[in-house]
Amino acid sequence: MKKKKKFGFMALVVLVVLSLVACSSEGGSEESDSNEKKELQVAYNAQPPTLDPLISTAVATRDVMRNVYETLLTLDENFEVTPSLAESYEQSKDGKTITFKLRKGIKFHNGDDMTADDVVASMTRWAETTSLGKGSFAGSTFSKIDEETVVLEMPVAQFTVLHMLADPGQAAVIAPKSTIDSATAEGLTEFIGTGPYKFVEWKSDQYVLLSKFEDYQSLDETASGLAGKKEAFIDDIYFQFVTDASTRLAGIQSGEYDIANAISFDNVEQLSTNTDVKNSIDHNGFNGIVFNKKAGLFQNVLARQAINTALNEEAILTAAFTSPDYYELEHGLMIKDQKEWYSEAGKDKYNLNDSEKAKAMLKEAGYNGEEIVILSTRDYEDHYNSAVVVQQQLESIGMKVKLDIYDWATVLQKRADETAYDIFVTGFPTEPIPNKYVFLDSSTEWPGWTNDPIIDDLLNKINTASSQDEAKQHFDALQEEFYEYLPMVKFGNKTTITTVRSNVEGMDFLQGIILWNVDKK
Amino acid sequence: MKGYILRRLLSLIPVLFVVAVVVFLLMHITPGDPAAVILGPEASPDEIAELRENLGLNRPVTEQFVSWFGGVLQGDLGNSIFMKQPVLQAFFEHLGPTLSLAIMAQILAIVVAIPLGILAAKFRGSFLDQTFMGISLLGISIPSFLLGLFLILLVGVELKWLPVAGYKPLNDGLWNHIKYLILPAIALGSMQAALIARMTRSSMLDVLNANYIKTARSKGVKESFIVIKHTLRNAFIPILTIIGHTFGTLVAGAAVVETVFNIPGIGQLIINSVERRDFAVIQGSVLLIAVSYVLINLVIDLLYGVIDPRVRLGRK
Amino acid sequence: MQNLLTTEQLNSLKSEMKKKHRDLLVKRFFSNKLALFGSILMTVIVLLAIISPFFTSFTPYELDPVKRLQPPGAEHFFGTDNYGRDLFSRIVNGARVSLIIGFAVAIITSILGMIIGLYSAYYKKLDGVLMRISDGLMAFPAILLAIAIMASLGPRLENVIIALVIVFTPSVARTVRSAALVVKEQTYVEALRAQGASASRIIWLNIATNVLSPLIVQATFIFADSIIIEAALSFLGAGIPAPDPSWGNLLYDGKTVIFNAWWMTLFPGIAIMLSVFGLNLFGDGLRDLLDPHTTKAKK
Repeated sequence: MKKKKKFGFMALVVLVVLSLVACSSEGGSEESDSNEKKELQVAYNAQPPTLDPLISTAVATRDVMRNVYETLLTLDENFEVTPSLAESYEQSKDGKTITFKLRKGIKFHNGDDMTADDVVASMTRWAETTSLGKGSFAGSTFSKIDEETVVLEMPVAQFTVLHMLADPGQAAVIAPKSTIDSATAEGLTEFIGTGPYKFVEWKSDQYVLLSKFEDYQSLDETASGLAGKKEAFIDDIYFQFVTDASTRLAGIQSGEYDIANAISFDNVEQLSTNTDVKNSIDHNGFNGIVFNKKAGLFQNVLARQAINTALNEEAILTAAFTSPDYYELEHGLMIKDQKEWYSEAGKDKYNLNDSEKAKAMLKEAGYNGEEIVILSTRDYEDHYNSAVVVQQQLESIGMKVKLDIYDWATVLQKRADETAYDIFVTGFPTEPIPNKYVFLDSSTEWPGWTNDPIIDDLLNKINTASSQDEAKQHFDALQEEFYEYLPMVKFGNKTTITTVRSNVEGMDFLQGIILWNVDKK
Repeated sequence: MKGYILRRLLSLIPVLFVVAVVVFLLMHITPGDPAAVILGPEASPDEIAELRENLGLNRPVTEQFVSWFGGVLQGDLGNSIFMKQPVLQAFFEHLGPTLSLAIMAQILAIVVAIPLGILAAKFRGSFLDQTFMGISLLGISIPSFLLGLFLILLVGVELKWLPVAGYKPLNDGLWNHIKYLILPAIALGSMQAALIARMTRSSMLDVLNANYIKTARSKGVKESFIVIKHTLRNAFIPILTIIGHTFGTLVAGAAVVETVFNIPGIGQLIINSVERRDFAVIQGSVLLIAVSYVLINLVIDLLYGVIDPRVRLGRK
Repeated sequence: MQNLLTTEQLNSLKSEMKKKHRDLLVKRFFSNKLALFGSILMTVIVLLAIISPFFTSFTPYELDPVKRLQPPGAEHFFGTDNYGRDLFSRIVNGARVSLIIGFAVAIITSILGMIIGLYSAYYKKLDGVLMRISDGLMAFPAILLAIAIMASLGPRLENVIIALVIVFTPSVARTVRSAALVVKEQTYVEALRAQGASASRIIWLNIATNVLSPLIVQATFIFADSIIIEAALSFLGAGIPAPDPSWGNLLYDGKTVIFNAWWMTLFPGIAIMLSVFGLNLFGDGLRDLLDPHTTKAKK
């Protein structure tokens, strides 16, 4: 009896193992449907914290959801404003009223037509939720004139209003009123837009699946930046969240991914010998150090100027981006493509690399050997790499510097605490208008706590300027003052590398990858 | 037997309470909060404060604990802030890859280690024995994530035989599924294999020297029969112990291996959740892992009783 | 007949026997080839960690961007990393970090585990509470507990030690406790208690000395495990703060360039492997020697 029992147990174990194996093989043969679907596998380096573009300033949210949502106005490759869901717009003489004519026959992914009510609800939510909306559109109203017309009325005229409405970061996206009504404090719960791809599924920590929106109504103009013609050639786009750089690299080489973003600069050389892939090098804003101007040594403008005088930006950029192919020594806050804005002001105060003078200035500023804390993270390797070199350079002018390395979430919290640090390293996207740089305006209370009445005044003047020429004049003065007051030190412009398989065509880039018009041969 | 199981289950309660308190406190003294992560790098302090309020993060810690633990007792682990889904659901979505990996590592370890252990015991002291045992010691000394890196370097980068990272679910085909798991499973299972091989060898040796085996041998029973029928069965308990007790370690070790190979399992879930301060997910997952760890040990203990009636349960 | 030996003679004989016994132990230990190999390996690593700064011409922090990612060669033994820092001197410095952590954790957990284990073996009520807590802590997977602790304490060397102590103390306490329980039941302890010996005297003079063997063996394995977990933590970015060269940090740096700088992964990896291997051999040898009855494999 006993023996049988034991045998029974052994048999059971074997059975369980076998059935496990059997189950798995069944699962395998079950699904192998092969209706020639065009799939695009995108290895993306970060998972969005939320899919609601209004909630987060995170880049991942922006890049994924720009395929799903569209805005009334958008930017072309020169950062100039062009209509998108609006057919046309008209600004009143006093600048306080903008009338938008909506395009006809635009459909949401749920099949409903886009109406003026949807636009009013969306724009109102945008003005009430985002920092840009709250900061610049307080007291403004969006209202419906008729089914195809929406009007924006503002208490004061703002020169930069169109750019703000077209801004791709926390974009003023149009969503159906019903999804806005059902949104919670944490954001939308349904993601229905008008874009060329519709949202299908978000498998957390794995992927977001977008699929072709058959009823998409494209503009006919040539594609340029975020504007113009958008065509969905691909049936399914998978944004695979692959945080590890070497995994993205391996996957793009093996062909598992069609597109991989944020490829490590150290690997470009190796990739360029591979004929299966090609690299796209795109301008991607800039990095810099932000001073804590509320407490500690850097309340003193002289100390900040001493640091600016000491830094060798070239060495910092080399450490982070390896070669001048991938960075640009550039002082301007606005890039050269932004022809209306680009300014030479302050150039003489950039990349000075003069340690003797810096030492003298530091002394004058009253520095007496106290420890300076630089806050950074390894979650962004370029931030960290720059921080290491900045530390070394500051030590070489006789400062005592400590690197505090935390994970990103901790950095976000620590940098909001004026007692926790003196400098933090971070990056910024290129903004379409100067006013959007968070480190300028004192009212944002953004970490670092810039508080310069001159800058505030100039920002205000730009905002209320009546012409681009006038705005540009104020911006020249602003950039001059930026290099005088130094809320932060800009290292230089950076790029990001997106590698695509050679059979993938049509990818574009403007503040992040653009995947419509991408086709796979 | 029933009383024993009941007692063991009851002893789970204080363990869980300790785990719950520890993980909750740890998370709430951790700097960084989910609101800042959600809103992104350019958010203003006002917005962050507002979202904190909405997420209920400004309530006193004790109040948060009571409401959370109250939910746990009713089987509600709360909701993920980021994934917009219940923690339980998120956990089970990530469980698949981890289990696949752990089971595959375990199978690999057993298949390789038990025969090796038997051979080593059979030819005790021989060159074969010493080589096997040397290798197994080396196996214990290579942490799984390190072996993973070595394997990537060798098999993925140099030889280009297997994908270096990623994961394909079963419905992408069995081979696809397994292909991605081979390297991680080897990385994860090697330490397991080394332990099992050593345990098999030593417990086989204990039994092989026992008198009844000698008797059987003297009676002319076939050697292979002795090894398999008499020895292995009796040596099975310590082997099973090691398998059981290390299965929990295996699941935990999977966390790091998952990071190396980018497999979206429980380890990744927890590490990602720590990164974005998704408190409910961390608390819930750790609690679930602790429960399963304790339960696995219980099952193992029960199995002893089935295999070897000499082991009396409940006589502690 | 009764006084064949004077007290003095007896003592000298005793000490001689002790010495012989010790010699025998040492001999037995070194006759175990693997254990011998392990000890040699550890000695070499410790020596390297201590004396190497005197013969490497580079410091582990010296940046030289021009010489980034150079393969192993005459100037740089093990090549350079992605900042142009000398990998050899970083690995040797990393050895120091790993050894400090391993040693500190082994010592502190032994002391704490011994105190907790002994007292909970002796006092029933205390036992209930302490063992429930240690059950709870042991139900955490070690690495996840360490990650959570590091997240809340922040990346610092001392914090890594604290985290590992919290992770390992429960299992040491358990080992000590079970060994102590056996001793406690022995008749001579009963007798001592009957004679009115104080609890702390019994605990520290009689029980403690008898649990030392398993404790020492376990401490060796904790030393090895600490090295592994530190490396894993730093590899995940939650260990030693970044510019400091710990082996885990070196692997972290190496991971991003694994496709074009194999040396950055291979050499630190081998360093970890060798030291853990050495410690395991050493520990195995010790166990065979001190604790021949345990067949329990280490976790």
